[in-house]
Amino acid sequence: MTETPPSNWRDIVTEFRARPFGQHSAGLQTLLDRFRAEPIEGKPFLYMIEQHRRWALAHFSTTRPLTWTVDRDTVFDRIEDAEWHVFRRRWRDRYGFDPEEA
Amino acid sequence: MPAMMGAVVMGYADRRSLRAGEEIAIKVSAEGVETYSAEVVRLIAPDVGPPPHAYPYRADPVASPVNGRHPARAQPLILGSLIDVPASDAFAGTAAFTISLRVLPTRLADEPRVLVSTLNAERSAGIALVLDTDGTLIVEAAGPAGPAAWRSNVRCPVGGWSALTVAIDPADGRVAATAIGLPGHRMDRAAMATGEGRLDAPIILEHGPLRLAAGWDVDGTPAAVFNGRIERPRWLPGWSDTSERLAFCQLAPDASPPRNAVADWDFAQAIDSERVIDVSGNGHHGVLHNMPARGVTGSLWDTSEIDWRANPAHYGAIHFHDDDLIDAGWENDFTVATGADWPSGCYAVRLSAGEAEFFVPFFVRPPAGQRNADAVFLVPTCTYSAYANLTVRVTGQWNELIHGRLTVLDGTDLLLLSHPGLGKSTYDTHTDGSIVLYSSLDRPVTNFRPKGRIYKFCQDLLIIAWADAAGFELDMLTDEDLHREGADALAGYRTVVTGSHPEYWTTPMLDALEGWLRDGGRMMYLGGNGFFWRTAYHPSRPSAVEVRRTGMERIWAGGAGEQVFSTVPEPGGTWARVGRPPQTICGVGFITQGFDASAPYYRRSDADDPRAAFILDGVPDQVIGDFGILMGGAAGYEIDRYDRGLGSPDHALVLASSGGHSNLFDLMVGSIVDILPTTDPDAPDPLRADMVFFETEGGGAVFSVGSIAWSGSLAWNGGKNPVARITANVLTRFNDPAPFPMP
Repeated sequence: MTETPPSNWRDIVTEFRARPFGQHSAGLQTLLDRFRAEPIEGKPFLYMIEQHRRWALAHFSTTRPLTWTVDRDTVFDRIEDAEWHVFRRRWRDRYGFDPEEA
Repeated sequence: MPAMMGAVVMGYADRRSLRAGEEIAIKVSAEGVETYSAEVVRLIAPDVGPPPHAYPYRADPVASPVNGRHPARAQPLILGSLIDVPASDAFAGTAAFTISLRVLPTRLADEPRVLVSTLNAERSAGIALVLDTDGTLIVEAAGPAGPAAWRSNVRCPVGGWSALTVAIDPADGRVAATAIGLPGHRMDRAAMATGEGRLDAPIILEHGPLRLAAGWDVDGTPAAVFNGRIERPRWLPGWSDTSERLAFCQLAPDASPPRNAVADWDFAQAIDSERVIDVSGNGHHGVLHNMPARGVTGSLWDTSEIDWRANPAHYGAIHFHDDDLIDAGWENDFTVATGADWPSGCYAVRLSAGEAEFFVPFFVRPPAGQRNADAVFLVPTCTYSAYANLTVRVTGQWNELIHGRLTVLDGTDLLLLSHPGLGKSTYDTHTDGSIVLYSSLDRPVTNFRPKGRIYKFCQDLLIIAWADAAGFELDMLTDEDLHREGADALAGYRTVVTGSHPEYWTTPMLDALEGWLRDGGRMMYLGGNGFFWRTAYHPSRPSAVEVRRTGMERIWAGGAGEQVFSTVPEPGGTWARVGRPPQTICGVGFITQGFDASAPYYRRSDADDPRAAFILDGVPDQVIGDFGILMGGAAGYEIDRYDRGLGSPDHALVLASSGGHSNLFDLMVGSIVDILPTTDPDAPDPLRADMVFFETEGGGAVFSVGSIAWSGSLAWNGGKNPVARITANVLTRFNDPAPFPMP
């Protein structure tokens, strides 16, 4: 079951796309804190394929002891693109729609 | 792609620092390959991204006979702390005996855990006291018919002290046990249970060693390592009936038993050692392995003392963990002979096998009595030890939240998951949730390399790279050298350049630096959160550190009443808590941290003081460092502030201050006062990095940037930027012997 997004959700999405790192509005920071506080089990992270140049999406296992998987088909040349990819996925999981397509 | 580990190669060295012309031994383990490659390199610049804003990665090859392929072998990583007592006939024979001890289990999971064992690896003789996963005592034994066991009705539950006494008669297999709960100030039941039974097969007790807190696996390695505390274990002659067992349970650990003991291990003695003393007079002294925690409270502790030195009897416990590791103990694979003509610098042996790569860094000093430069770079190896194998960065739930960005890991980082035997850092918790007190570089260390996260050694190489590119010579000196040699290690140098995060300092290190500065030395503190934690170096294990995070009321909090190091007779905690805040030596001290975005400094009026003219020569900018590879600014990661009340010199100049840090910096403040609203709209942002300069009485001077991120801006625009200019200005003047007059 998905939640209803905040009424100013478009502003929040726009703000994140413009500035994924640094000072955020209270609404965006609250949302990011919830996203980023996920348990480590199943949590996404970035696997550095080339030192500080290319990153692949990766996930920790959903059970302990922790292992990991790397999705070498989902690769980023910019950290900001990876942040947006994960933000969209988390948004879909929580609110049931893609913030980019809405 | 599934998480498959292919070839793995890892290694470490027998030391971190040596003089040109000396040798260093390298220990290697390689898995999944027949051979691996070794290559000696001189590290000039880390691999932190493409130019023009980072210097190109430079690991210059160094000619050495060890360069080339080597046969691979796997070397073991054996976790778990315990006590070994040498073999004796005293633990053998057919006469009845009694074992009494106090025990505080902290984690009983997965499998039964051993308290005391003489049960040999072959399972052909011996006896063991074991706690099952629910705390139930099991007596395990072995004899001619194989294993024997008796499951008692006595429990030692997790989280509380219990006194336990077990009587055993090998001749007829009779066994009896009594336990009482010792709730202390808790409202737990003071439960008492007693039971008697018989082992289900005949047993033999033969000449052999005794082990406390673990058993022997079939290959002789530790098995079923106990998580928790043990106090005053005694091996007593003769059978004990119910009333005698109860009396033994009630006997205070610091009282003498009514019988002459076969062995009586008093952990309240020699707390500062890796030995345990048998006070029975029979000489069954024991040796610790993998440094379980000492100087920890026992069942007698009543809060009247918080220092084990004042009342050792209250600290008569040892805390064992199944994931303790202080020294991997690997065999040497080869020795690197450095040449007397090798320039002082950062070196490493690069190990590789297939796609696997691992670095074993070391630091070469000039030959004794020589120096190659006016300035010396103080490699913060004490801090590297404290952070070695920082597992929480991989497994911590809150990393992404407090860093404000996705966690980035590479294959070397993930060795901590695939090879948990690598052990943990002082920021991690043991499997039972207690904080890790001891850490070392005597094992493969995944975060001690010129790649990966730009932090610690990888980041310090940014300063080395800048100095090389800017034409400055820097000799190398490690914290371990400064600790051992004191101010003599700095003799002849004019300037000490610190790393980006020199956070951990022992008393000898800090005394040496302070004395040297008072005598006219100069220091460039090019980092943040420095001089923060008082640290102990183990007296005989050069890279092993001890940290006690006294006063931390949140994560990493130490045990109540356990603020004093076990390895040296000093209280731990922050230097501020023992009266030497960082501000006293460098003018600034830690205020907060944030890893999502860095900020620039803004010039302040002190920058126009003629005393500071040499620092800002050629830097007219009002905004300094609004660029950098460490989150876009020169002020960030961890930042320090001038604070007169905490000891910043009153004549210090605050040349520039950062501001406008993100809301994640609010999250990590040490004091809520720093984020409370202010009524003064003109008050400076309390969350800031201050750039500070001051002179010392002996003609010396200190320049501090108070920011870990400073080094990430040095290479910006090919090194043509205000941060690099300021750094060069200061180093040039500091290397000039002309004394600085006090204002």
